[in-house]
Amino acid sequence: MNRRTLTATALAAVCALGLAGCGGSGSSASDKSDAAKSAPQLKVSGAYMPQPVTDKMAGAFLTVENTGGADKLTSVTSDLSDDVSLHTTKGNAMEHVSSLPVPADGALKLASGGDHIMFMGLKRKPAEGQKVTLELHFAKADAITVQVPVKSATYRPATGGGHDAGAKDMDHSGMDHSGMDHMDHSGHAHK
Amino acid sequence: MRGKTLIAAALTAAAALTLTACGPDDDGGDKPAASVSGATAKPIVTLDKPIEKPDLTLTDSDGKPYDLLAKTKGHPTLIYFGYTNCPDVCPLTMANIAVAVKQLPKAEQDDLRVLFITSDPERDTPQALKKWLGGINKNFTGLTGKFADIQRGARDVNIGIDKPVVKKNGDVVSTHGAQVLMASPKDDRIHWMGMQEATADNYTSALPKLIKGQNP
Repeated sequence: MNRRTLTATALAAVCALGLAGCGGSGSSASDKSDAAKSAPQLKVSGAYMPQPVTDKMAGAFLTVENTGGADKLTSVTSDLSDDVSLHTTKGNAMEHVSSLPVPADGALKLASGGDHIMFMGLKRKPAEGQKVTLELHFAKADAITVQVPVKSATYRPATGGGHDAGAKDMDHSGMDHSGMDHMDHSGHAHK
Repeated sequence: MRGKTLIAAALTAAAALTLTACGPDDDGGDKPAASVSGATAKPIVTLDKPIEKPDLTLTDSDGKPYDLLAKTKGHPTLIYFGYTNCPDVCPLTMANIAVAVKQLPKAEQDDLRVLFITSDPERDTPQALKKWLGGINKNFTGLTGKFADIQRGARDVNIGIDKPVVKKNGDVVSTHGAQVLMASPKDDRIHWMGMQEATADNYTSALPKLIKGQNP
């Protein structure tokens, strides 16, 4: 009984995928691998960068929605840094990865506490309200350019950044601007 | 005794994490977590049994010795294990605390001890900690030392951190603690934990009570 239910569910899922994959292409609905073969259709949403603590590093988050076939985010370039990498979080450790999957008819979600884009050795320290330009490169789809807004250090997308106001009061008075120019970059992680 | 407390704390943490993971997608189909519905994903958790603060002597961000128990005695104290080469959770956690601290009266800010103990002491020198914390709140204390000491201190308070690993490609993989530990000024013991999902608002509403030794 259970197994039957599972099988039926699995079949339904496969069918759904198959149908979605067909999406107006006019090909046969029986071609189950259609979604995998079709071109990815990507859209980026919800991008933001929490205002970084120093000019040493920053992180950014976004969602890549895909209404087509599977793809991969392979690299990110930016005007902010020449050293941009993709990271995944395992437990409480993060690891550099060479690409992140954008599933067919699904989404790649980069979110705080999970996968993220990391920038090292920033050319400037972005402040809340500014924008950072990113170019996302994929295995199949064309590159997408995104203007990423810099949010407060405590911004949370789920609450619409409820604490933006408070964060503006953050103590920046102790920032060692004088030390920025001769910072020691030799100790960088993830290089 | 200690063991039980730790297990209970770990379970609470695990439950909170599990619940969070379920999130809004939970269809209510099979919810073993329902039996611990009392432990909903609270961002600030009150421990059933308080934990002693870690007995650590480390080096502060001015390069001076810092005896944690002596320096924090009688002060409300927040302790977080993290590292500065961390783009996401560590700065977010410390920034959330900073927002809350900033809203306390000056005398209470001065009384409070906020400790950022590095889980990556090789890279987090006193200077690196000072610079990083300077961008968050210059009154927070950065602490570094021998990794083995820091790990043992973390373990004593139920925080698991691993020694940073240098991979073949040169990447350094570091870990941070999952929770912020909060000790009462009344008995110098840890009574509360700030979970990873605790927001600036959560800390802002909890801190005025915690620093008086009251449950949030």
